[in-house]
Amino acid sequence: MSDPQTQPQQVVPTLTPTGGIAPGLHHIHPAYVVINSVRWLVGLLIAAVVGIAPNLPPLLETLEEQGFGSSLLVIIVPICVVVLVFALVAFFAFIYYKRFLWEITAAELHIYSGIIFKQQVHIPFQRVQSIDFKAGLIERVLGLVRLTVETAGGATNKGVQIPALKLNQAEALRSEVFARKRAAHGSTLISAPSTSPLPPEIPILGHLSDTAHPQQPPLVTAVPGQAQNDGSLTREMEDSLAGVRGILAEDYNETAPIEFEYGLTLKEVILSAISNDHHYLAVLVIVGFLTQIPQYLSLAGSHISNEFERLTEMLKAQALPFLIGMGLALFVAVLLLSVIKSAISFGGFKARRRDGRIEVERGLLQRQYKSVSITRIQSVEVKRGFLRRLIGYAEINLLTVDSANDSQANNGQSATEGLLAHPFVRYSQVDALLAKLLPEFSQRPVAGELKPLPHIALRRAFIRRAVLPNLVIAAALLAAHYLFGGKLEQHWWIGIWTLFTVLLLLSAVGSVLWYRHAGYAYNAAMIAIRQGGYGLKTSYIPRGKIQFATTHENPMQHLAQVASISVRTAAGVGGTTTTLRDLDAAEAAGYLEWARPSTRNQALGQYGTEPA
Amino acid sequence: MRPLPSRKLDKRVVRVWRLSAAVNVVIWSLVGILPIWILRFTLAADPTHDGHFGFTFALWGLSLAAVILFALFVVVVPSIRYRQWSFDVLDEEIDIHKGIFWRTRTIIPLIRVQNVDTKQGPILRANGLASFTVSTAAGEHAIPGLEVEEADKLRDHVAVLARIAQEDV
Repeated sequence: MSDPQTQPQQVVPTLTPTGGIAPGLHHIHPAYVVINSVRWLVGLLIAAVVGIAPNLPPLLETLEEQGFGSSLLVIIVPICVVVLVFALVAFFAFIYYKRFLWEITAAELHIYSGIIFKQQVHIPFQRVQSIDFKAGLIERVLGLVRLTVETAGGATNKGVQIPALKLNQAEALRSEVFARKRAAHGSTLISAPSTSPLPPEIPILGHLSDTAHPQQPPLVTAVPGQAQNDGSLTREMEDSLAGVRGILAEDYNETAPIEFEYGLTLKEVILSAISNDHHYLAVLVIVGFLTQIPQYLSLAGSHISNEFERLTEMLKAQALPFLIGMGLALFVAVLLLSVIKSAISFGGFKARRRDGRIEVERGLLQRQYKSVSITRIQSVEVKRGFLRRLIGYAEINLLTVDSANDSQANNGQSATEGLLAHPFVRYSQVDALLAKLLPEFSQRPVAGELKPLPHIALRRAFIRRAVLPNLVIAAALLAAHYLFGGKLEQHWWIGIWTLFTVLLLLSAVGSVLWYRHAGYAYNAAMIAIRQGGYGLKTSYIPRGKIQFATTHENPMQHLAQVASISVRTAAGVGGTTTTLRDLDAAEAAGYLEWARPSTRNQALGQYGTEPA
Repeated sequence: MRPLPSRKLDKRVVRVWRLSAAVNVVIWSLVGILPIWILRFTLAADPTHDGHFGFTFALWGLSLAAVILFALFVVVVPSIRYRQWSFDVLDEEIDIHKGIFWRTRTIIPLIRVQNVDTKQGPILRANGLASFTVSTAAGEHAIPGLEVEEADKLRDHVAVLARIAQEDV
């Protein structure tokens, strides 16, 4: 391999006239320099504002004392700093752009990158599991995407990114890689039921032609009862945005027919936002934040603080209506924010099954396209939050093996995020949807087959979830009450103890709910485990995806003759464990027997079968 | 119900556990006790200062704690752990049972095994032992004390059985 850095003249136009990837080394799109610099600049500005803002009032005060000249300085210096930083960042981005080269060889994708620490990545096509796209606002205007290559592997799995590519390039790259992967493997590994064997003479360069799948008519179906959003607002929004987006529109160059597809209506997006439990936790954070504001205002110069004192005096006179009004306003604000957030991340949501893969694309501002091969799905989770349970809705999450790099890139998201196949589906239609989207999971145990836990599990749950944690809290509160009781007025203590009682009751009810809904079942193909409390989660794990199975028992469980079971899969970064506590000890042993390959039932389904 | 796995670790592993626990307890005790001890005697050298009863008390307390820890982790725990530890390498799975208070039994299908290793630290080597580790895509499991030849034999045996494992997960 010749050193790419010394021979940049090797770079040739990326696409051949037929639309395939040209041989040789390729640069990324030059707009990367601008996009990356702007992204850095925005980040720096936000950091600067957050860092400086609290100190601004005293700073301005000293400025006022020192006169006009220095305040001019204070304006000029930051501008210079910003310009300098921007220049520096742009310079490095330019160097990075110059050094970033990729190429496709007969068997591998090569990526050369790095300024100080040079890096060469070689990915054999057989190892490529999925190629995903993501595009921020600027990128969408320019018609660019960030491309992520996910590879197969265990705990040390790493994702690779090509940061800026024209969409048609990216799509050509994707179909090229998958065509070559298929050519190398033979067609049998892609296990979609409708995939026909590829003809032996697959064009190695250029597109996988339409003739590869001659006899399949596209089979686009809708979930029964769920309107295939003709003329819905989402579709209209989609259409009106199509001009701006210009990318990730309908025409993927994947040539295989779509087997099943569905979307979300605007009404569903809004309902899903309103019914998301997590958004209500945000209220607490906002309240915490608001309590900081008076302090900030009092810093902001005496004249403001006088106004504020008058305001608070006025408010104290009518504290209760104020609090209620404030609470209501907060509630509405949180709802609005969550609707907006949800609309932005799930706007234009579409999921489809095609050629043995599940593809999901979503997002109004930042558009992302993610896909996963069905053979890579480690487990399926059907989740119902408390509010969604009340209105009879659920979400379907597909857990996959994630790469470490990718999850770092999307920081703030948990390691076992998976692929959200449907964020908001009527619970009664989960079965119908899964039957079409993932027929491989049709052998899963149904809700009625789940075995409940023995009665002693209720007592243990009550002790574990209600008694012990609340004893600790009560002890701490009692200590605080006796040590600092005088510092707070009586009604505060009444409030605190009332809150404690409410929490105690909630956790007691929660443990009863956990017991009533916890259950498990396994058959030849897979195991189902359901648990929760106010919310519920059911995990379906195919037997063939179990990395190892464990039973645990602590001394108390030993006395009560119960044991916990764990299923470990490779989902997420480094693996995921699903545990159910307090099965009858004999049943736990039965689970372990089931997990043994040597006791495998011969009547296994296709998906439960280990590869020969 | 299926009985516990039949194979035991090599008896010498108890000595290994004792030794490494002893090293640990001694090091951590010294980390706790030495600074107080030094402080106490630097203060004792100062005639104007006579408040070192607290230090003496702390020294005695910590020493007692160290002795109890030593008795527990060096004398008691290793032999119980040995008694609890058992495993089996069957045609299609590895079966491990272990734990003193928290007992676990794990089934690792050989088809999921991606790597097999044998490892030797200095204490294990001095006792002619090796530990045998299988790695899956979601974590690894060690069988800690086996005779070197047995560990090697096991490694080769499992490597053959695991060869059909699919590395793509």
